[in-house]
Amino acid sequence: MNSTDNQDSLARSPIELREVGHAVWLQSVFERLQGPLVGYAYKLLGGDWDLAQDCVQEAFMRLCKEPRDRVESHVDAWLFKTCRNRAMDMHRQEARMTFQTDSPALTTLSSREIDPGQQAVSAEQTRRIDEEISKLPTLEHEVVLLRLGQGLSYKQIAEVTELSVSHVGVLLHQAMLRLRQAMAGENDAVTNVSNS
Amino acid sequence: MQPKKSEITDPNIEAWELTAYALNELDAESRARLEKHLESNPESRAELKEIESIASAIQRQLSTVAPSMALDPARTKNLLDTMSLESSQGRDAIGDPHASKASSVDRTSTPSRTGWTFSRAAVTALCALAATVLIALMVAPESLHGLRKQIGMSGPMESHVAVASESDFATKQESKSNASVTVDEKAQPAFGPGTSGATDETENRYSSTLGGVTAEASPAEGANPKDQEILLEDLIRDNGSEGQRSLDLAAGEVTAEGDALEEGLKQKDSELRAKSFGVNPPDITSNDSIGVPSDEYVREGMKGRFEVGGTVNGDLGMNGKAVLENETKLATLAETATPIPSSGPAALPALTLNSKRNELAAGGASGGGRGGLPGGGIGGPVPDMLPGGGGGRTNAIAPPFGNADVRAIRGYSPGSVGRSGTSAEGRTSYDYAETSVDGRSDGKAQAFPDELRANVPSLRMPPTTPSGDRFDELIESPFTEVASAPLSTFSIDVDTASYTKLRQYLVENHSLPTPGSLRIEELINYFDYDYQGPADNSPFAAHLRLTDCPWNKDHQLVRVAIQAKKVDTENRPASNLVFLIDVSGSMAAANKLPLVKRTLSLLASQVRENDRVAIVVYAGAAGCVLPSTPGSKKDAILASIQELQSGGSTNGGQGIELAYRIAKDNFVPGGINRVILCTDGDFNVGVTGTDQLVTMMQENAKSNVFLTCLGYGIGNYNDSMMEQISDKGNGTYAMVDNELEARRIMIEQLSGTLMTVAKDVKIQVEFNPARVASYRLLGYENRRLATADFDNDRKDAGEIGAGHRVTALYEIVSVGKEGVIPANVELRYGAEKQENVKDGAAKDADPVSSHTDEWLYLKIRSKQPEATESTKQEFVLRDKQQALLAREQMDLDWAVSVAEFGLLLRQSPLAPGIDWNRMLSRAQECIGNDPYRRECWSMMQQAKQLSDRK
Repeated sequence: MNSTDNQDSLARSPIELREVGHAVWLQSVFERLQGPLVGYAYKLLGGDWDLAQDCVQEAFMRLCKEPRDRVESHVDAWLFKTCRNRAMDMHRQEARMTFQTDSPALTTLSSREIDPGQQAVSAEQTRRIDEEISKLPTLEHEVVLLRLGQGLSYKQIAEVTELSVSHVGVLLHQAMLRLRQAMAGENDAVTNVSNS
Repeated sequence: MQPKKSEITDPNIEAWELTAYALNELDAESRARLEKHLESNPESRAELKEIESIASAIQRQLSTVAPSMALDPARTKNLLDTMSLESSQGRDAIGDPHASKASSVDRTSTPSRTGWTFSRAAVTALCALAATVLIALMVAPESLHGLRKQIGMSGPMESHVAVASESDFATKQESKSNASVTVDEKAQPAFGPGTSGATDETENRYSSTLGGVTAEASPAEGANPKDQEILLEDLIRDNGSEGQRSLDLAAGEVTAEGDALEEGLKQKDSELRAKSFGVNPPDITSNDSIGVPSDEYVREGMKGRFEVGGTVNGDLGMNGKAVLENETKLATLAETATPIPSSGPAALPALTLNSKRNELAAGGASGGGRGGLPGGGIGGPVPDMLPGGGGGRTNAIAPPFGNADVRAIRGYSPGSVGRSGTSAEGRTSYDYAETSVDGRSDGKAQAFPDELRANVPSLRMPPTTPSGDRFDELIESPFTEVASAPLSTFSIDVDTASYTKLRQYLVENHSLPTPGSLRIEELINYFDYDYQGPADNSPFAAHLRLTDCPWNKDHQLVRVAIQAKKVDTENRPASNLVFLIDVSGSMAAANKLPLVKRTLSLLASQVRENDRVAIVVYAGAAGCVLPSTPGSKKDAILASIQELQSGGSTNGGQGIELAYRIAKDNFVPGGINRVILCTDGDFNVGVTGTDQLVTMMQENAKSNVFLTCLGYGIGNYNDSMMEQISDKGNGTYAMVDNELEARRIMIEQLSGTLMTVAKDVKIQVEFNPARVASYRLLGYENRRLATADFDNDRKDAGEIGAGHRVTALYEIVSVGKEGVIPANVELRYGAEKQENVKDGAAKDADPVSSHTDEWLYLKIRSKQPEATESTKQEFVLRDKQQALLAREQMDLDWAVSVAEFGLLLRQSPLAPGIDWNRMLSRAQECIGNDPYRRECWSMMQQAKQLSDRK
């Protein structure tokens, strides 16, 4: 009662089967990763919605042309990497790539019908975290986005950024230290002067 | 600025590994090393804690933004086209990637479009053909009979053979004519050849009293359990001359005219009033609850007592059974409005004289009878807004441990006068003097026939949260003693709305939801669990598991996991979909109509050539904006979706009628026929009463058109309405709060969303009194069914989609640990109860019974999507459990953690040892790579902070 039996019964050639399977695979990858990729590209491209859309579209177009057996085992990292490279290209072309994430568009997207007073405190916290993330050095910022924003593993991030796994680990750890200090520093700005 | 260096001095540990540990990125070896280090270094532990908290804060921040990200529809479509093209035309046809931008702007003039359409048509036609063959095999009505035989032989299923209480002539004849099925059933392997008699004993597995009584009465027929049932029925019929009539009428499915119906009920009402213990019926007329007739429970209770006592002799037992059956008929009567059988109440006093225990049983029975009947009294124009409307409320405040027999389910929200309990069920038992009010009012409420319900002017409004959302308050069910009620019956629920709602509260509103609004089962069922599907053609596989109860170390949890068979998305049959979209003014908000459009675009992108899509909108009036259109005209479908605009008031009723008409006109036999309702549930024009809408859905559900309710938005949101509509309309109900959720429903779980593999799925668990002293089901408060409903094929229950899974958790107290539950208040019978338990245990230890290693016995009844008869599957939880794989253990722990999370949010008084921190750390262990669990975990943390702040 599974799909293979079913298709076999219709005497379809192996080539046809593979092609149908390929399309299904492409679509499933697309459905699974397009959202995360757009989110990633959007941040990489400093909140330019259109560029992010183009970037992701092109990454998938390239995936369509790539032989499946070469990418299948690591398709997530492959797509993020392709997106990243494409974003870099776009940045070079249009000199618009920044790591600023605190754009108006972003704020609009995350605040829906919320009573402003009700969440004033946490909105403030949110804004601060956001700001501190965007202040991180480029590579640290990137690994934070990939690990904590997209949930990629260290290994996948290593592939995307072409760094070693332990380097990714170090970068992320440094980013965490920085963010902790930054947040703690703002919290206890008065009392902790001597420590910093 | 350079970050401050960590103070780790251990040469084996690198500082960065702390972060890696917090993020679960270390391999086992480094992990062990680090854990060892952590044990001796409090500073590192503190640092780790800090890292974890900042990591989750960042995660939360990044994830609140990410969900709304997606490729726009034009680009999406363009890419999907390219992908299809890729497979059927080869790579040469793909142009330069940069050209795609142009094609995305001009969606109709891509040069390769014609070629694509053609070749894709060929591919999908083949797929469709395959799918059609598959589906014809699976669900076509004409092949059902053959299939059932086949199933009967190959798997642990059996055809539905009605129990005496439900049997009508039609069913009986059928069970006779299905002789071959009967044979299969006997041969079915669930319990091995030695116990087939017990297996066939439909009502009760762990006690032979019922069968014994019958056997005594009919020694000649004893060999065939089916005949026993029939004979029993004959005897009952002889016992009460009116009973025959009621049975006849039930068989003929007579729907009496409203007047006659009401008259019949009134007659019963007055008779029962005469029997009632001086309680004033108007006290209890305010309830129009739906749910479970309490007299069903009473019957169950009586049976339990007969069995446990073991003192009832054959004749009396028969008598008792007859009373029982007459009580059943009372219940049936309440439904079909036939005159009351006089022998039922008359038989009660006789029984009463016999022994104390029987007296109690009789008391219960008459309580149930009373309960069952006055329901007719409110068939008239009694508004359900009477203040002080009691049943639900009385139940709602019943002490959790005080009386295990009072089952308060959906009760009365103290905050709103205007609403009586939507579904209150309860029953009197040992001490009817004390709890009789419950029994009566509930019974009445329950027995109030559905057919009449629409006549009651519906003025109630569910309670409202500060945000304007309306929901039904759920009351947790307390522990039930196995000795008195060994059977627990409920309808499955694969809805997830409650979880999504919770997420909205936590993530967007930064507030905790109202405790009473949480449906724990929907939290648990939101997540994926890797349960193995059925190996054969059965609709379900079940996985039972016993585990520790984290919030009470003396209790245990039983996980009941049910996995529906999986169907690949591409193998789904042809679909006939009707989108029914609320475009009223209230839908204008950014998280409503725009998100609806996005959801529909996602679904439209998945539509194939042999599918059909129609769009109906409703606001002040309903209209069809897209007649049923084949999937090949995707452009037209997408264009219609994009043009949707909001404005006006909401006439939901008219829209529902129109949508169902279109769905029926385009019905695909054996295919997916489904109305997809997208709304915020704020119906305010036309048919607006929940009851009327529910009736309307019930009518329409008979046409085998299924329903998906998608709820949108926060504020002004009517959860209660949505839940009820989907319950009654053969539907599922999910909330869509963001794009990610839309994607989850429409892409990841598409086959489950669209393709119903079984309907009216009911679960009955029988606990072995030799092992289990008492139990309580976590969640499913509004899904309880009466014991007899399990075998009643006319009783509606939940639907399940392809690949869906249902997880239910029972908290149980095993025999010998009863002392842990605070003693029941009625000490008068406390001693006797203890005795009963011992009796039960002794009886089960008898060598005749071979079930001592069993904890419980699970039965699942379900129907194929277009069938009217159910099939049954059975499973047993035994002492010996196979070791779990790591991921299975993670699934189990996760389900338990989510249940604990739910109990914490509900501030459950029944889980005294509950603890946020322990729950959080256990949950963290089983996140794995699942992004939804990860999201939930950060919600858990946030919820803890919010509740700490309180």
